[in-house]
Amino acid sequence: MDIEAYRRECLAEIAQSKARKRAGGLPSDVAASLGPDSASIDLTDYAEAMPVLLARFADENAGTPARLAALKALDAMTFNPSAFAGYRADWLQALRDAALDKDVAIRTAVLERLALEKDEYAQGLLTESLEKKRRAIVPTAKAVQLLGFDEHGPGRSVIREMAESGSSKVREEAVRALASDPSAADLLVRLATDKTESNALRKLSTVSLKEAAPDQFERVVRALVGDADDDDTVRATALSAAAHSARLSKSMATGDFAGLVDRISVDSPSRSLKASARRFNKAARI
Amino acid sequence: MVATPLDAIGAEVDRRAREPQGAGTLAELLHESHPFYAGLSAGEVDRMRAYVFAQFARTGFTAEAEAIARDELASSFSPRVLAGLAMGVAGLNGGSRDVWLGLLEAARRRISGRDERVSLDTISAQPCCAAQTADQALMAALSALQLAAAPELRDSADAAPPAPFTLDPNMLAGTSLEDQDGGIYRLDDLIRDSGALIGFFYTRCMNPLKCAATVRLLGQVSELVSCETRPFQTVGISYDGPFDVPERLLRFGQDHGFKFGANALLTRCREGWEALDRAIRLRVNYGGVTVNTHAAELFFLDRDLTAIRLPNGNRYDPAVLTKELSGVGAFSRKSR
Repeated sequence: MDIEAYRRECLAEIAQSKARKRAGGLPSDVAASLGPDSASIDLTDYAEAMPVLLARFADENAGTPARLAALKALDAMTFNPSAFAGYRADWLQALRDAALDKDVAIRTAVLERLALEKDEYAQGLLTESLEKKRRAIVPTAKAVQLLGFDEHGPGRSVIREMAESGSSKVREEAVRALASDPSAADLLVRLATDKTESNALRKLSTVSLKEAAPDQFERVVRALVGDADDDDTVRATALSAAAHSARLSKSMATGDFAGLVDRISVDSPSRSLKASARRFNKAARI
Repeated sequence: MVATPLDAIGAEVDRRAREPQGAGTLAELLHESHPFYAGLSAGEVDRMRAYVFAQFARTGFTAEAEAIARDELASSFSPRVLAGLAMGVAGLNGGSRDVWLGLLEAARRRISGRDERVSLDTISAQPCCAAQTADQALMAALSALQLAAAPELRDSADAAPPAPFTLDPNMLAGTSLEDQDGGIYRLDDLIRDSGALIGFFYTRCMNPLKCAATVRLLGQVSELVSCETRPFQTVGISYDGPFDVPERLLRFGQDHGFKFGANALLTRCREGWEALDRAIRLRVNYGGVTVNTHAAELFFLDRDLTAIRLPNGNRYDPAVLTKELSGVGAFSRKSR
């Protein structure tokens, strides 16, 4: 594509978007999904727009695209917290009412928003769904991901179980969620150092361990980086994660380990491992 | 409907609320260290506290429950808990009406922008049953208080000020703390010279009026204390030791204006946490990963091994508190 044409296209889009914003209008994709009557919706007029959008969202006959478009428009309205404040309770209630909607796309969209709000009702539904106390309301990996947003929330024991026994996607989400859980440190150490596990899971476990238990993370990094027979991408991830903490890389960059990282930075056949070693050395010198 | 541990707790709350001396036994359930809180999520804790607070409308408050209600009304960001408190206000029989009106107004301002519909018909009531928002409940409580025919609420309903208690030297010697730089201290060493103001906090706390405010107060006192004749230590101890590694303590202190120094440390407990918790009866409990509920807690641990829980949580003027703890103020003469 001609770069100059692309630049003009972007500028035109920005200008249109600004004009719409000034007029309180809807983004074109949202307006198209909501239908012809959307032209009258002014997102800056909360008293008029909120009831219309909430009603459209709640209307099961409106069709998925229109309902999702209404939800998107409502999202935009949340960005003005003082104007939105008086409507928040109704918005939250509308989301909760749709948490068990027949349409999985609606359910998922709603539960994503409620999970970000750390909504206890939604967390309860997701936990019951994972514990098989009710029919699954979203795919298991999604449920784990959403529960993982809140370290003060429920369902932690089931997340630990999922890290060991779910499908690979579920396990990856569970391991991400365990980053906030120091009591999962031993499990994360085991997963990070177990060569029979997938490299993706091992990398995620290593990174989560850094948050959950920095002391054990240091030991794992030493073990992984020191094992020349291990997968280089796993070793590179471990070293890079350590390099993101100046304190940790400083404390680790001594003695034999410093020598090992120096050698890796020069000799390793793996470009990613070599780059991680250099990053680590740079962080240690700061 | 799935029966949950909360349903059993709700049944127990209902039973206590029906008893003749129900207010006293309900008040026990407001202690954050109560076993009922163990393992609950923060949202479930809010449900339980809200439900308990609402029952005081029937039983009337005890002085102790009223003190806890005031603390919670002054610091909670949970619409559910505030709605429960608003409903419980009908059972008030102490404290200045103006104070309660002020607290209710402040609570309304605090949840502006985070209001939601709340039902407290049962402990597990689902949102589909919710007829009113937390703000509406607070407004109703305000109206009821303003319109009440009775004269000013009886004053001086404050719970008795906490009594000093004696610390076990073995407990103090066995409590090992690690500070924000990885330095290790024994608690008895920290209080040996001039005692220590100890505040509890954790870095993952979501309530800016609790842990962040406690650490800010500790920092302000530590800067003032060096001007006093009795330069006591100011020490923050994390409730969440396994997670609050030195790097996190350092960052949390920096983020909240805490000037670290020889008399100003943020720490986590490496050894002796359970004994310390028992000795000073911390008001904290834990969910699946971290703290699920806690009070704002400050103590003064004196070199003669006496200790006192500061009665107003973290709501102190730092200069006044510093003077009082330095042995020249009214608080010291009254309480110690």
